[in-house]
Amino acid sequence: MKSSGGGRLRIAVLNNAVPFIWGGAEALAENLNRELTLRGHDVEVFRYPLTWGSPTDVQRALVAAQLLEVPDADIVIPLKFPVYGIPHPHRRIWLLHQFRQVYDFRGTPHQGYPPGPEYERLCATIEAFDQENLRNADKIFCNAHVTQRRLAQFSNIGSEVLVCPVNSPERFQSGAYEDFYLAAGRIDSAKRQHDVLAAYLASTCSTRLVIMGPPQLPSDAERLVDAVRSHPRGHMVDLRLRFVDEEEKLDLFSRARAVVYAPVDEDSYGYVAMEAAQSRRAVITSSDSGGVADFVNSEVSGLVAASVTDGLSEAFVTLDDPGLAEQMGQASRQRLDDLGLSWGATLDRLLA
Amino acid sequence: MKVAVVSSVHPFIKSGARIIVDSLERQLRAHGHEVEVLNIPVQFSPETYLDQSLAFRLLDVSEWGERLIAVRAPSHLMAHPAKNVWFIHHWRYLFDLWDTPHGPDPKTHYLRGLRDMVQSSDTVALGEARNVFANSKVVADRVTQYNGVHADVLYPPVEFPERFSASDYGDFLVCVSRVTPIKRQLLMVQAMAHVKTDVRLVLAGRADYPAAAVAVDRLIEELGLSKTVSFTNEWVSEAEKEKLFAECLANVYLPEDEDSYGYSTLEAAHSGKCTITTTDSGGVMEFVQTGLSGFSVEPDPLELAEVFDRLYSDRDLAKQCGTAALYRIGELGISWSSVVEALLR
Repeated sequence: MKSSGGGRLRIAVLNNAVPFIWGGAEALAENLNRELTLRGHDVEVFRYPLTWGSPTDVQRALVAAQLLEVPDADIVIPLKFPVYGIPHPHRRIWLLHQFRQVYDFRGTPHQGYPPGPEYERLCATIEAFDQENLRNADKIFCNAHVTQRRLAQFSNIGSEVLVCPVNSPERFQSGAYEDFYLAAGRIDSAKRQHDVLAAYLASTCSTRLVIMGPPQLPSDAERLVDAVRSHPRGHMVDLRLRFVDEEEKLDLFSRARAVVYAPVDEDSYGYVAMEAAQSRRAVITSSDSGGVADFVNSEVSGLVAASVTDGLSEAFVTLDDPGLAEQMGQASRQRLDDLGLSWGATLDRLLA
Repeated sequence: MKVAVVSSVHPFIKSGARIIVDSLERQLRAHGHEVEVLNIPVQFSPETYLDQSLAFRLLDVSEWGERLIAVRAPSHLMAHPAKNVWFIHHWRYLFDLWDTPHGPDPKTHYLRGLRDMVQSSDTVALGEARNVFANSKVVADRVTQYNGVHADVLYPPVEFPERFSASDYGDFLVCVSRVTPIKRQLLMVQAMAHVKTDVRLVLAGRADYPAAAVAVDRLIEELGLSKTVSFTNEWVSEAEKEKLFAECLANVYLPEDEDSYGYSTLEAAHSGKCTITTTDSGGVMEFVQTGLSGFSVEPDPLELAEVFDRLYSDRDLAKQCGTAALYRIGELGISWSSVVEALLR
């Protein structure tokens, strides 16, 4: 491959952008930038706006992607739909997920669009776009087995799994297993903090609960506030519904009894679960949480409830025992280490 | 206020427009605003520019904040209910360079059609803006000429003026710039062949492409100037740049019909150094008043050599003009608070 000399590559990381929202993909892009730069490459992260309120919005973004160029990059690393459709001769796609509204969310409440001919056209367009743009890439990596399975199932495209390592793992410390569960991450309906909260309120556990993270919509926050306000156990819940800074977040991870994370069919192991493991915390999740459920070895490195409405309340009672929480927390870190995730090995595969 | 800044970039090249965007982002934050920045890669290629322009138009930023500030073309094509444009330059190849040796040759029907389409879309997009600002009078005039739109002049300030100061008026002239034909480093080297004093020239900056570096190296060798002209073809760090400006005699900046005064002109002025330029340098002439805050001469090696020698021989003059250049910044009202205020109108 052509390079600017000495194995040094000019690499463009391509991502979507949603205004004033910072999530897992943004963190991955920044850390890719950091880790690739540390290894001597010339790196740029480019973000492209995406709105998906209506099928037309998505179609526009998809057309735009195909009209753009990334001049002078030796390789590009696109992370999301539709930026993997931006033409480039050397695309190493690291797929965080396809446009789920037309695949695994199809026919579910998360579909996002009213059923009908317009939605069907959107599905057909995106399927064709994915066939064209995912098939002719240099390589496709998926960040989780779930994503890989879906890509095979819905698009009949093979890929390798490349899990995103924990960003700057050295930041995460391990302290005592104190008197609170921690529910971390962006607050929204697909992350199901409302279900976690309901299960917690219905539980007889004695450990408190901290829910932290920025709400996607004001209504996501209101729902939690309302539930707590009207409930006799509400005083046991500490809602920190805002962007939590690094120091506060690391402190909570290092002291929590265990971490609760039960999103709807998550694509990846989930940063929240991996960071919990890095901090030697057990993870409580649900069997329908996708990659997170794969990550947790139930009753060894955490607890996997049958669903968010069945078994979570009991899991909270089980880990009232700090000794057990510590034992599972240690196993959780072991699980993470056994997966052999490091930035060095990850980038070697990505650039090979 | 929530503010989005959009611009286009050529990947892996640190251009003036990119410095403007980076500084603007930090300054908006420093003034208490929430900021999102999008730098979208673009290739200024006659074959694909229209496609890419259309893409910019299709990318939806209509809900990105209470103000959208568009900087480098074609980001001004993005639609937003409250858009302000800080226009840096047109696609010069099709407009102000059209009839120069840097313009197209031959001027095919395709290129003429392309020019018309770019002009029409620029006109529509600039017409949508609440306010259009230009980074120099030259550019403001072109916006009026090509698009019939009024633009106020909004000069881009240096981000950290306090980092620049004068420590000496040494024996060397400096040019901190990308090395590329339009910046005319070759003309500077030619001038150095005619100096009568021991004045030196430091060319600080990286070539845009390998052949541009080879041309400079070759000319230095041909003219036997390797002792008085230095050129390393490496990008200089901020610290190195500040040191060069602090110690130099004066700044040399000879762009061909530049859009703006150029950061180096302003950085030199903050360092108490004047700028030597040529009468055909465009925006630089808005800053440099010859004989007062700098010197502008014909683009001729002999005339340039004479100024080089004069400043070398008369350090008091170099200091006097450098001090006048520093005052010139205030006279032109160049400051970040006025930029932030204007762009959020």
